[in-house]
Amino acid sequence: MNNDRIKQCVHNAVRGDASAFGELYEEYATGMYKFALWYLKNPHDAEDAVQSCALKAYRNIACVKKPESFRSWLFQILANACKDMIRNRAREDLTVDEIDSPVFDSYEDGTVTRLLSNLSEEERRIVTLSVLGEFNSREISRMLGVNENTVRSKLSRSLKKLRELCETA
Amino acid sequence: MDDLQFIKEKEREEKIPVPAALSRNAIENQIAAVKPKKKKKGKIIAFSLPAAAALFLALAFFVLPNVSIVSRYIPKNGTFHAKNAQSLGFQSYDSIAEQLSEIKTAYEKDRKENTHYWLSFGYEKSSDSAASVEFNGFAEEPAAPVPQDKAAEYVRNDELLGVDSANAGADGAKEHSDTNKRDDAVDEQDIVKTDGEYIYYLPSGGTTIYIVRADAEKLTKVSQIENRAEASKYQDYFTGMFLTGDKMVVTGEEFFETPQGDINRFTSVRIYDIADRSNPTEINVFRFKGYSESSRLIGNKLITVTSTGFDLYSFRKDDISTFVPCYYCGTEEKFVEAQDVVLPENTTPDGFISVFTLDLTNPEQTEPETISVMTCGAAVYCTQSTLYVYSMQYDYADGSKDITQIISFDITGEKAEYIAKGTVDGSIGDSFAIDEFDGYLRVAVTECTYGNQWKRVCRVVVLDRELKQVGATEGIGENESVRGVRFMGNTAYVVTFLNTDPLFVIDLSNPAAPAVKGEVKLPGFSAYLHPIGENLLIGIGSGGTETGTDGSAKISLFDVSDPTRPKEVNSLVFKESYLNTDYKAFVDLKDGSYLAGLTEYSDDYEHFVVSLVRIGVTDGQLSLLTRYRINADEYNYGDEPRGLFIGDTVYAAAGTEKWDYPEVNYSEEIPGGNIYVDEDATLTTPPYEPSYTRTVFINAYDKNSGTLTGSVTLYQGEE
Repeated sequence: MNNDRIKQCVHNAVRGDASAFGELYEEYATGMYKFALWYLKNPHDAEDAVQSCALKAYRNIACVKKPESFRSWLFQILANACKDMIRNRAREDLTVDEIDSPVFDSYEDGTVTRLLSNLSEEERRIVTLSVLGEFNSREISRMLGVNENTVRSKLSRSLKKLRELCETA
Repeated sequence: MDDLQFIKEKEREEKIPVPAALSRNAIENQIAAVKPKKKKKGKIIAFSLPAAAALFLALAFFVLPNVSIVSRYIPKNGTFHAKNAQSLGFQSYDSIAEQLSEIKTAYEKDRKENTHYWLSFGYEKSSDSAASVEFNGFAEEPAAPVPQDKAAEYVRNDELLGVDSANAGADGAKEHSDTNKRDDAVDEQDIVKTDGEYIYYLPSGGTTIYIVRADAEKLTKVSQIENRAEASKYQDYFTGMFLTGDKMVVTGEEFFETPQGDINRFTSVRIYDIADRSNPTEINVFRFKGYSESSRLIGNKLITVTSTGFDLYSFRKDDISTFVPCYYCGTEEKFVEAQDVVLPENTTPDGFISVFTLDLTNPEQTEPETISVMTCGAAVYCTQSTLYVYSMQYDYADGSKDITQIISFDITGEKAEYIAKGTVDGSIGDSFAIDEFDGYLRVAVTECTYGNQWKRVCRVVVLDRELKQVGATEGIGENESVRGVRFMGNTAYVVTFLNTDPLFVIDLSNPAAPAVKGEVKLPGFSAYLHPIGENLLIGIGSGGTETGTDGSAKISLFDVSDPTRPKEVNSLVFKESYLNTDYKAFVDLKDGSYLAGLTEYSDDYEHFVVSLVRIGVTDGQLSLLTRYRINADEYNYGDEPRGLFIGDTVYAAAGTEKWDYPEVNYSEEIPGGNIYVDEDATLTTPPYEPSYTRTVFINAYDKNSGTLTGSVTLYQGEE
């Protein structure tokens, strides 16, 4: 999908054309679901997060001013939706570990999705934000409230670790 | 390949099916009940990116070619154009409207008849809705009146520091650096300039130009020019500047919001009188509708290229603002004359490339000469006599491939004249990949065909004055893409890259049969090539191994004296680093040495050392002569340093950003804050946002020793 097309879809969606938004959504749906899954480690929560993100994005579609930043805008909303999900879970007094179940174990050996279970919660989130969200260290630092340099070192360490695991798997 | 790239590629292979509840249909049903919120009135955010990209963004610049393109679809039946389309100007606005109406009719008819085709691009929902769905594609909003108050003076000098009493101009200036440009006679806008006495610096964000008197180690801020970013109706920012004697030309972009909430985009050109450097005064301002593509200054002639969208659905016969670009001289609104609107043959009118030529001999009185061509364009290449505007398009009509459309203008007169329109297969990725010599235009392209088999191949193509192809090399670098290119007379040096870097030498002396003369394969690749005399080339880029880049930066020296056997003489490799490959950041010190910007990071990625490095060729070998450190130990993100020199002093204009994180008691949760996930996966929230300080400064160094001799802080605050 090129920028002109994104621009046109946004233009139409602002005027209430749900199918124009649908087209934008479809372009990113796979990536969004994977992002939420990696981030939340739970397919049900991931589903909820993507749904709530889609709704929020459509409500606020008029905020999109520049087509090239659409993806980043959308994933920012998704990251917030994921964080809300964690917050809600925390309020329900469930820790992430209790609810995540062996979700990642159901994926094939050697896949990045499976190997993510070798990372800590924070490392996994940083990797998700970077690899799938395509955010830079500064943005991740702002989103997670972690020092930017910490993000950078954790990211490089985690990626290195994942790569080694991939190569040996 | 770096780890991030590796994981990304691996991840892309893993398909995770999306649950049915998240299908497009399901989501569309869900959102059917809600309506999007209306646009908020008020401040429009400037779309400027901080100049210094974050680490991985910076790396991405090495991985991907720097491409400046506008893309668009080409309708299946080629184009929608009037039968009597003319490449010359129109008689009157009425005749433009007439032709456009005719095209619009044909266009709508085709959409009804070929719904299936349009549907396949998602242009239509279903066949029966074809007539009712509004097609607003590629639209730019109609023109809005410019607020009267915009004519007000913009210059503010309320923050003067140490005003220099000697306000003499730039007379008797020492030898100094110039912007590294394509053609010495064609000046290019830049964010840092010097006249040998003063340094003019526009840091990222585009809000302020600082004028600094530079007397060896003594740096004094003399004045500053600000734009009015605080105004609520619109926001504008500066994009670059030119110096011409005691005048400064500043280009910028402005956004207007109409009462309907639509945003209009204008390119601004402001002319300042800087005879008194401590008190610059605006003497004229012009605003041209459209995105600012680029500007060039040739002698006293300023050429500004803008592009703006046009769409047949907003087009109304009775409203000239829907089909002719407007511009403002001060506050007076004008439209491009009908005679100056060009619709080339076989062209679907889907945008405007406008060329505004200003004679700066008498800037108080001057008025722009205009020409507008009804098509898309994005990137600019300009020689002393010809201007080329090109853009990439996706050609679905002919087997799904990238093509590049090129429009040329004769700029020898007071006014730019349209010459021709042409296309080549493939994309032109780099501003050095297009070059005119001896009446021929040569372009280095990366051809890409999609479909079942994605295929890429690089090539050098030669076009004549009418932009008709006269010759092309065989495909070079299969499945690679063009990275660095340098044309020198009848020879082209082309770097392509996939895992290793082949440097090809191409002989163009017979335009009809350009041929590859020789090649050398090396690890890594050069993104910018700078010639030294006729036999040597410096390559600025990334180092690597047989399998790809390895995170190191590399400066290579190539010996091309024997075109059949180019070779790398030697190279400087900086581990875990990157070089600024923007050609304007490469500075010729005019003594056989050059400056390049280098960022190195430590093993733990926690520290950056940013410096300018001075390199030179001694005894036939490339060597590192001096290193000018911008920041002693830690460099947070900011504006990548830009080097310049006056006499024996090297200056670095840069900016840093510092983030301070407060001590956080993680046991305390504060609602509404950010979620912090610590090592034990317990969820807490930090109490405050980190504090942020930005510093913009210019440092002075002794050229030979590299010692810091002076510095001036231009800005410090939480901008």
